[in-house]
Amino acid sequence: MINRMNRINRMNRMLPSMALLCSVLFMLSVNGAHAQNPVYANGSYDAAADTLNAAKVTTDRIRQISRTQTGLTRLDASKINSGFALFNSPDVIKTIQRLPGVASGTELLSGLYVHGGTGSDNLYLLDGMPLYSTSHLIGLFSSFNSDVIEDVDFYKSGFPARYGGRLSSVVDVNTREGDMYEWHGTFSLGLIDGRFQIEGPIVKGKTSMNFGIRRTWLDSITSPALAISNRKSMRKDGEFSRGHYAFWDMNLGITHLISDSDKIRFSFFNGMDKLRGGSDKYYGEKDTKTQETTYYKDRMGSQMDIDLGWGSTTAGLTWDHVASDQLSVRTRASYALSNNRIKMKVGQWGWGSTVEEDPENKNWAASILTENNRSKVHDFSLRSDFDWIPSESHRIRFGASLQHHIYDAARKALYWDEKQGAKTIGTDVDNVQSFKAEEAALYIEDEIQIGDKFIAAPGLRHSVSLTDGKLYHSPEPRIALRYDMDKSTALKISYTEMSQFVHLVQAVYLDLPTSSWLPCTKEMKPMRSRQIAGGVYKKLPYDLHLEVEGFWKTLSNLYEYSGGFSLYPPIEQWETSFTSGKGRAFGAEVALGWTTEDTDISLAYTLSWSQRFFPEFFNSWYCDRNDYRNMLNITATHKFSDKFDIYAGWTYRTGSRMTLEDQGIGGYVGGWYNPETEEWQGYRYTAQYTKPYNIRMPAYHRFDLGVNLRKTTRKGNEGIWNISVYNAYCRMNPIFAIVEWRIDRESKGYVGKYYGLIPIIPTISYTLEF
Amino acid sequence: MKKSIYLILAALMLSACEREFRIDRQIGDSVTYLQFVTSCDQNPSYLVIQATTPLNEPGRIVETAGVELSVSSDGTPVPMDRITAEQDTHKSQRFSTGHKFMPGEEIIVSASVSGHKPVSASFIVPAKCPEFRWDYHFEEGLDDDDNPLGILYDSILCFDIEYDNLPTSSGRYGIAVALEEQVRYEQCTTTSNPYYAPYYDKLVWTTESEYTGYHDAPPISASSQTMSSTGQSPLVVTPTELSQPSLDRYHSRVQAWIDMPAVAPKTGKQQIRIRFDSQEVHESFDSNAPAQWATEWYGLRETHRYRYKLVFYSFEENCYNYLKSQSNNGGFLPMLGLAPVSCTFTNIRNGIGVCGAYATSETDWIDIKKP
Repeated sequence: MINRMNRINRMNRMLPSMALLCSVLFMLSVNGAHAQNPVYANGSYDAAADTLNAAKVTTDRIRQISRTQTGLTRLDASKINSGFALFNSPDVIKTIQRLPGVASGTELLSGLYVHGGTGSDNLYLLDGMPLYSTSHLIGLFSSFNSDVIEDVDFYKSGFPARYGGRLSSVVDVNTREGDMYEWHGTFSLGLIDGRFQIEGPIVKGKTSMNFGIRRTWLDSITSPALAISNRKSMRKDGEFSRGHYAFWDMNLGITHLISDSDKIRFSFFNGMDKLRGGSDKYYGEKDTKTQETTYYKDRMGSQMDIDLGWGSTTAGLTWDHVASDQLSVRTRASYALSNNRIKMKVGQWGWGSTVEEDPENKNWAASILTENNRSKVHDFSLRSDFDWIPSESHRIRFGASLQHHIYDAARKALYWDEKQGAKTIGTDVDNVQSFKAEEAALYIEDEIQIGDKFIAAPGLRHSVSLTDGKLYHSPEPRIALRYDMDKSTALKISYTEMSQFVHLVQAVYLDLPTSSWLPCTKEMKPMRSRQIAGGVYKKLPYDLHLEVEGFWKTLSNLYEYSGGFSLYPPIEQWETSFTSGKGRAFGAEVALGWTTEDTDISLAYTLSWSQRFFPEFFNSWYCDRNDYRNMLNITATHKFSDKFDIYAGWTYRTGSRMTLEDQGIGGYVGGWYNPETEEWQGYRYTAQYTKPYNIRMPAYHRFDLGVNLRKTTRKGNEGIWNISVYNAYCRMNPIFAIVEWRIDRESKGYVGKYYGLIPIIPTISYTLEF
Repeated sequence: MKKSIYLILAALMLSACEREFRIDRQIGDSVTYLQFVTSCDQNPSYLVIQATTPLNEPGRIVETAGVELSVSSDGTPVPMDRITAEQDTHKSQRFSTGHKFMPGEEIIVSASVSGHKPVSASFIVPAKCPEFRWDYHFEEGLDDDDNPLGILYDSILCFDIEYDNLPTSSGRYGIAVALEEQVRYEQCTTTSNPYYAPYYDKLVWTTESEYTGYHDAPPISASSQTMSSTGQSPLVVTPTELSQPSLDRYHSRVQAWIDMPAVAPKTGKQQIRIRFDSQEVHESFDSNAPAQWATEWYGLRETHRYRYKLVFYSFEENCYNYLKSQSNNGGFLPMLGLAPVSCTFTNIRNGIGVCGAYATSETDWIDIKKP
């Protein structure tokens, strides 16, 4: 106990020290500022450039061969916008899902599963601010609006020390600063959603803004349809249905140049999904003569309402300061909110008398259940990042960050019987888990050019977390090495350690707001990963380029729900309802590309293994649910002319895994053969499992196709018609599967049935750039 | 809440498109099932070994032949007596031992079945379970004869259990409530059908669904199935039991027990609440329950009396994990691949099943007196 108190005291002393260090370093850099070249005047300064080379060469498209880190992909806006556009929206996450080493899951269970990751271990940053919720509409859309995106850095290995807090990947999305001199934007109409983006100078040459908004109008289509349907069903069955779904997101960025060496930027994002549904069934009485039933709107029979909402909000202020040619600093204060909720009401009414006997509707009773689940995370962050180039052979980055998290998860359930206004409470659950957590990190990384052919990028990050009176330290060494064999060939290797101080507490894997983010506590330790990756990167003749990478990754302190059947994890006992384990993943990835001015064809293949060891589930290693042995993505874009370009992409991966009873004990398997149904019936055995995730579902594959037709309007603006087909050959990819205990003569075994939800989706949209 | 889950899944399934796929080729061949759960409070101990049958092969029966078994306690061989000369009707082979296992002993079990990989497992016998104190009281339930939706329940029997000085070395505990129902008929015949029904800490278990089965029983029922008289483990279900549909209640029994994992404090207080659902028998239930109720049935006067026994368990880790795993067996979301799977625990190397131990401490039968 004394040691723990000492640690906590040390932590309490450290937090202000780290903040002080940030401030001092920042003040030093400010004091060191001189009137240097106007670095912002031409917009060429790139504080976020990922490598020494990138800092030197900012105009060329930088390929993997010229970077030090393994596992880094930079996507610029043009790359994202040339990708597939479902329902009118090019998508960052869908583009990343096509990269080697990245698995997509399926619709409803979408996300990024990177190098054996859990899906909840990806760090999503939007202008440097964390996003906890990144998908709309069961994962078909991501929260990143491509209209406002400048570029995306995606890391799956070789993480620089400036990134931390998640185990498996970093998706660092930067939005574009508004044009300082001209107003322009885009307006786009699709089948179910629309986008609007505008940017321009507020004060010419000084202040600009960039604003983008997306919203679906699915609700405005479904509401009238439901109203028409309800009119009929109300008369016929006394039923009234409700349904409403909408999502939107909004980005706002305001940039102001204070001086040639100072710039501030305000960024705001809000994205939300809302899904409501339910039905009312009214009390009815049948006329004995006419046999017709009359339903009474003032007498409820049963009612069910579900109201789900999930989304994120971020707001941040960033100050970029160039102290000298060699030193620049970025300081950011930000707030991020993740907000999930589910409300539900189920009621059943009983009427003791007919309408004639009880015209005032007094003789009734009801049983009603209401549930209210919420999960919120508030993040307050302050960080400073220094970028110092002391010589041509060094680029040193260092910095510190402080985060104050408030985790708030609650579950309230009330079940009561009510009779004419008098309530008798049956169940009253009111569980709230609220944690405050402090997280701080210091990092330093250097990129050292040693001779002409060798670059080393060592780094160290030290993170600490204090929650629930428990202090965790996490030193995280990082190193990336690159050796240029010749001008067209590079060898790279990296080693990284990462920690994650927050757990996604979930009882089901669905893309629904049924999960909660909660911090590590005395019982729940921080997750940790160690990864080594390396490969060869080569430019081939005829504009071909080849990347071959391998990786080995271990994960520890993973947690899985081990409680009983539930949609929500039990908030009040969440620590005891989860069991800890570890994971490992390894594999090889090949990326082959051919890029010319008009054509870009790429092939990404991954051969990988993802395994888990949870002693409470099984006594040995077993394959993970997301153990995709083979993944292949082929994408092609071709520009036939300035007016016509096409996109095509084929995705294939081995199916997900599920768990099935596969052995029987205690009796006999078989039973008797029923000639009428032509089926075997009457099995008598106790089914057993040989191991978790022992069955693989059918493979996932789909083909997407898109065409852009561009036309210049009379006013000189560009209009783009986009026609896209998602899942062009209508492959019903499995989302989940069941097993039927039917053993017919043909199959001579179990019959598995899988269910697919997303058929072919053709879309058309029109975008006007003005 | 379950309603909403069903609704969501029903909506998904209705809107989804289904396709069949073959999974039989992914199912492996027969493995060895081994179950040996013992206790220092239990004598004799039973062991079941069986070759499993792959479920994709209808009609096939895998013989459990050529069994070789070795059990040792702290390195000393433990004699195991074969109960059945050959495999029984359920194609298993059973063994028993009168050896008294002592706390702290390491038990190693090795076995092989002809044509199968040898299997093995080990565990430590947990310390004796500490004593506990108990009391009971009644809380008012929801009784409303005029409720058009029917009566819910009229009283809640609450047991208060206090324990202290739990051993810290084995930190996995459970509490079960054994309920014995005595049925007396006018001819003065008596039958006793005790069964064990553990309860969750706060959740409520409805007795009604359990004992309606007894109404179909003949006035003079089979012999009582107490824990000791059948020699069966009170917690782990044998293949024989599960293969008999009439013993399905054992399934429920295993599914519900108080989970007091490693974080249980050294001293503590638990409350067990038992709700009585009187929908089926409310004519006589409201005044006598839960201690006794009576009804006329086919010309016979039938009086039911209940008494209770509290059993405190301390589990060895493997035993605990297996029970927890079995209790999660019923969830369908994991089976759909939509939720984590936790029903697959085994500590048998190269096989399936469980070898583990537990300790118990229990009260005498408690006659309930309703004030």
